[in-house]
Amino acid sequence: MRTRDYRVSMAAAILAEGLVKRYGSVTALAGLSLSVPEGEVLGLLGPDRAGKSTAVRILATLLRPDAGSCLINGLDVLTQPAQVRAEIGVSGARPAVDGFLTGFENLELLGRLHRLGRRRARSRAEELLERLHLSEAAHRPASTYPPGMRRRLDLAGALVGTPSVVLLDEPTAGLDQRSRLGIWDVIGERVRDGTTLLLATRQLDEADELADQIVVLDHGRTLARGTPEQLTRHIGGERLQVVLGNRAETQVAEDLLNRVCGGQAVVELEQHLVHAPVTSGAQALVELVRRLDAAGIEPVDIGIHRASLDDVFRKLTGQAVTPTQAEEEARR
Amino acid sequence: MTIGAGAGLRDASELARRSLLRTRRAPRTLVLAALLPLLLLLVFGYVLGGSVAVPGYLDFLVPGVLVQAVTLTAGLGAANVAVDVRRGMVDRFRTLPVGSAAVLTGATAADLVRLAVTVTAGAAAGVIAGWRVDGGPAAAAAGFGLLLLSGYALTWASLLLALHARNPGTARRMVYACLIPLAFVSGAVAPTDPMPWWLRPLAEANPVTLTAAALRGLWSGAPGTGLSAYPLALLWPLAVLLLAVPLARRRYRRTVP
Repeated sequence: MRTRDYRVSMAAAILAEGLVKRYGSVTALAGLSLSVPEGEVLGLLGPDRAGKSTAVRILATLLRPDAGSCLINGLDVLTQPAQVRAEIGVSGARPAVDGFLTGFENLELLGRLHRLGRRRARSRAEELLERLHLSEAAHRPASTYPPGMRRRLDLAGALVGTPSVVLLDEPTAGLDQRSRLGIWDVIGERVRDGTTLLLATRQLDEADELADQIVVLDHGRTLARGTPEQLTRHIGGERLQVVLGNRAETQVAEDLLNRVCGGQAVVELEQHLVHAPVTSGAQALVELVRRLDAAGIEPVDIGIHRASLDDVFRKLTGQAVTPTQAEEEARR
Repeated sequence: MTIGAGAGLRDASELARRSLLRTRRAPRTLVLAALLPLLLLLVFGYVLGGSVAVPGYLDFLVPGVLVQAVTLTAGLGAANVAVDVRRGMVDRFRTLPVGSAAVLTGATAADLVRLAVTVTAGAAAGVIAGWRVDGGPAAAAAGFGLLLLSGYALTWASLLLALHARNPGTARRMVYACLIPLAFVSGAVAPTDPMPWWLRPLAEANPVTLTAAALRGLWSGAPGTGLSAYPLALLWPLAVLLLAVPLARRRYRRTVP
């Protein structure tokens, strides 16, 4: 595992070195180092309590680290917070939206606080509402917005000051798939405009979709870093998985799966489950169904599973992050 | 952080606009602010007092009720600040080039309006009941000014407490656990002389008692009455502001939702 393989380039828009933050005996961050080149997206991937929010809050000038240093566009976050604030847009773990104000008023207020003139603040608010598909709801109190719209309004709020560096903490937490795609569109658009982005998330597909580089965090420690492709290769990517009716069939299926996927099949006999990593999933799936059919076995369930965050952690730490998954399900 | 005074004032007025808009759209606290003095007057003047007929009792009661009402109204906005902390609004403001003084001062704009409503409603109800201010317009204005100043100081103290709370409900409970004894364990609506030996010193040292005494003196039309209460009645709100404002700013800069 490479933990210090990050580029220290002069053009880094976000540069952090050895960030440490402790709360009593709990170490939230144990020496995090990051370097995000201008215009790139860094995904900070990890379960709850991995230290993602702590990292975002430090970079956002909201929290002082116990040790370490960080620069944003060459400005020292710890000694020049006012200048740093002029460069960044932040969207925290909760959508910062005033429910009593309309969407328009929320953005107008932020524009004024960014020292835009009255007229400019209004036109900027309209422009962002339009861009984030909120125009229709512009003059309704934000308390009436569904969660996806609230998130978009919050994101718009982070963009009011035309920041060159945007820090996002779980921008799609608690949203349904459609709203998530909407948010991803907006983020993708910012990235094409050359904005540098730090994206903290516990969703592998989100990091995979948006990030150029991913840093995997757990309990404040950096477990891995690399491009999504590197990490996926490291983790194993897609797996072909079959659930069967009984033990005997499970053993036969293991044999068949080994032939289709060239060994590496893993059996969980108690659950009548067999799975193996595959490179071209669809092809392997068809082949396996054909062979099972020939053997007269009808699987209970068969499918391709993409590596989940849980898989990443099982691979990297040797243990699952089950609490997070349980929590994730509880949230839905 | 260095922010020009002009920019700071502009920021504060934008944020004041926000807090006033919020109050206009959710006028519950405003209604409460108007009802509070009426309720206090009813309870202490008619239900418990029953002695409004005693000459001079209204002159004693109304200033006391006004101080009590102002004290209780000062805490009505505290939960809003806790909501802002919890919803991440405070985090958002803290990542903007806006100073803590502007954010907090802006947030107290609605409190000032509520305080003015409380004082107006209380005074109007008093006048309807037959109460009159003696001592001329200057004394009247000084009295109302003192009421607003005292209420505003307690607003900042409530803000400071609310910034330490984990959620809006806790904020409200913490603030009122302080404000309710302050308003009622006092000589605001009853003389302290008949109180038991252990309560009397508490009630007499209560700032609310001091302010009520000063108001009675100011509005009695007899120069020299209550003179001893004036300096302290003026000093305590200033001392509270002097302490609560910097502490609230410090706390704001370190809040965690």
